[in-house]
Amino acid sequence: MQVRQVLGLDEAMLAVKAILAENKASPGRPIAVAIMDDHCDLVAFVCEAGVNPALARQNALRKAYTSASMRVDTMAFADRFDGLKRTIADSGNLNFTSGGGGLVLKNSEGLILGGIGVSGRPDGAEDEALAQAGLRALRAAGVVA
Amino acid sequence: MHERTLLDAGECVAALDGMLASVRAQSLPPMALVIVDQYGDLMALACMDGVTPFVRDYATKKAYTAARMGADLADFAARLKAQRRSVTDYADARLVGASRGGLVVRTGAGLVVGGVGVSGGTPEQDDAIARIGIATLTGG
Repeated sequence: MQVRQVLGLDEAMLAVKAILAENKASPGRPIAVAIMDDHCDLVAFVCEAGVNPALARQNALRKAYTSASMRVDTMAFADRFDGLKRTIADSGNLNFTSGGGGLVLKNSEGLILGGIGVSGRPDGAEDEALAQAGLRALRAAGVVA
Repeated sequence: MHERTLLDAGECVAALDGMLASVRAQSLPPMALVIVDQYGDLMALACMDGVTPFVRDYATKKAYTAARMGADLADFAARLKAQRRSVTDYADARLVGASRGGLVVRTGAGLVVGGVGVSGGTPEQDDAIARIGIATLTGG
């Protein structure tokens, strides 16, 4: 048998609250925030009133899912397909996204702990900037590298 | 034109924090805590360390059922029983027939604005924790 370190609720809530604080400091369109563990299970989630119902929730989940499962920040995910004669759609996984706002969580030994997903702002770069606040909080707490 | 009342993120985080504090203070088993809006769409979720996959899904379905049916699960289950109906009659795979741990969130005027779902403990424990969430969300 093996034992694995897994992202817990304390760490997930720390990230969520840091992202919500950053969101308050730079207000814009309402966002959804998702934190998943390495198994792509949702550990913590918060959604603001008035989020785009067709996009924000699903995309926050897809971004966290893509980052956790593909071990990549979603902004960089599209780059993986550069030079290959295929697209993200060819992976056949409808939950993959290359929209900015998904960040992979990795500890100092390179172990994948999960992913952050933020969605709701008009631009993926804005979503990612908010997600970065979560990463910074986890880094300060010594959870991620 | 008409108005729609929405739960906001700050209230939802406060409700999660309140419920988590109570679970920990009583050393209850790990629980999944879920808040949905009046559509049954996810507003907030916290899964404590060690929660089983079943519990995570069940809490979400309880919150969804309370919000969609506009009723606490105990009342919904009693209604089904009195009508000799099954939850499957609604043909909605996200509805559950559980009778505890799912409570509807209403405004002071009685308007349904969401649901709280809790799973992981005994039915009584789930219900008690969900009530803390309701109290926070409704300012009680």
